[in-house]
Amino acid sequence: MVKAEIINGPINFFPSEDNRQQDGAELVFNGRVRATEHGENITALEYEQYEGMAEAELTQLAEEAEKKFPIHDLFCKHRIGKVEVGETSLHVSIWSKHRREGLDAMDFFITELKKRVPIWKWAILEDGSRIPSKCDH
Amino acid sequence: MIITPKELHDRKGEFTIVDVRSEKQINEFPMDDLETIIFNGGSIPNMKGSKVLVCQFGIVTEGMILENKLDDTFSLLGGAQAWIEFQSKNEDLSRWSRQTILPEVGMDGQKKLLNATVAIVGMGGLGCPAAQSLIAAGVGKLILIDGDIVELSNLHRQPLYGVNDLNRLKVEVAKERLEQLNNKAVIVPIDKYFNEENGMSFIQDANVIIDATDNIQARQLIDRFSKDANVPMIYGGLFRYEGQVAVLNVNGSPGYCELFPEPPSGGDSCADAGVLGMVPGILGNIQALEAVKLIIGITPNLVGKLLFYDGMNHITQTIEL
Amino acid sequence: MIKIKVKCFSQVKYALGIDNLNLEFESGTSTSQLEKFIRRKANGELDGIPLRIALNQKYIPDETELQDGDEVAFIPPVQGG
Repeated sequence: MVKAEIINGPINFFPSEDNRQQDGAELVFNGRVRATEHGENITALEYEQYEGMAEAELTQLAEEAEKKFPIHDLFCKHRIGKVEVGETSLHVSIWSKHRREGLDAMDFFITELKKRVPIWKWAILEDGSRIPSKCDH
Repeated sequence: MIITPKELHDRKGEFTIVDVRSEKQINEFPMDDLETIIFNGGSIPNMKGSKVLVCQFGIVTEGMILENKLDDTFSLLGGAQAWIEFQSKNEDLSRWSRQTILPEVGMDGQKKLLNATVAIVGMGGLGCPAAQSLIAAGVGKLILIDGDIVELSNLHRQPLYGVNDLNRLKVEVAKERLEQLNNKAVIVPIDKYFNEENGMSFIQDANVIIDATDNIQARQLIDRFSKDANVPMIYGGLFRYEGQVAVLNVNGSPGYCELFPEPPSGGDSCADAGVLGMVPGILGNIQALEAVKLIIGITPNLVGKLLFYDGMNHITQTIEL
Repeated sequence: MIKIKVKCFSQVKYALGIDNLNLEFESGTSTSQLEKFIRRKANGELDGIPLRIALNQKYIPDETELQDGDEVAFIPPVQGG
């Protein structure tokens, strides 16, 4: 099963569920905002999305990961709007029988997300100005 | 007598070229590919043959030639600045040397003008002076939109048209006159009235729209298309000796509908109220000046502001929108 | 004439100064022609920036003819995650 959401505001992490008796591996990835963006000091990032298309692409990508790797569940949340340094902007949980397919699916999902999902970062600099991030990885 | 960079390039061997600039200027702005004699003290020595004098912007040497009544001596139009631009980019911008000398304009600003397109809606009292000034300043392309023909009562305030032009389409006459001011510009005459069906296609390619119309419906339509296509609109309105100019819809800044949420009723055209031609002449030029500022990026400007001009008392006032 | 809505994000929004454009073109205009128009409007600020095209919220692999009412987005390199 997959769940993919774009949300405004702080992310409530998916709970780690102890009753998952067939899942030997539970992987969690949290992408956090660092204090520098492409070499510049920032106070926050502001995430912008193409409303409608971003969630559709995120869902489609999650479904692709589920098809490509024998995982059980993939839940993810991507935050948009202002995210302060240190806070989480992306949260992904994957449950699988063994760790190999879980690790591979996580790698695939995040790599593809960074290529396809129409979300962008605006850097809020120390002087308060706001410019498109030049980050390209 | 003057010589342009292009002419000098083609006829180099015919002249002795004398660089009268300071050492600092010569080092900071070297003139490549030109053999010059450096001379920056006192009067020019008597040399046989034709000479070209070069200073930084081409103005000092013109003065020198006149003052000293120098024979067989040319001043390089636009000076070293124009020569360097010509050598590096193969563009002779010396024609505009009197404006490129302005620090706010320079060669970069001039090139922005050359690459710009201005749409002028209405070629009457405001449109004529605006078009003249913009073409002369070097705007690369003008789109002129007006379905009217020239009438006798237009001539007092629409100085592009003359007694031999009566009953001809305004935009066609304007194109002929304007081409004489700048034969390199592209002028697109559209002999139609700006309306819902055609309006967007006329303006969406432009960098700026000059509202030189005389009715509210046209202004509201221009405002809508201006917002839709994100092309700034320079509003111009007048009544007898008074006028207004505002620069609207610059990346979401207030537009005509925000400026006049309840538009004034009744006619506001020159025909109804009466006008002396100088007033639209002044306001059309203010519109053109603001268009140039927008294109080049010069501030301060009238973005988000409304300028009131009172030609009777010569008072101007600017308010924030 | 066909009416097209253009959505602007990130560097495109920064270059054009606006979120959305509502434009009109001749029937038969293609996505590539629209891209040329947008790049021209950006006055060089989008030079060297690769743009993918999304038509009605789906990426399109090839040049496509536009229809009345289409929504087009020029997608600069994305930065999610």
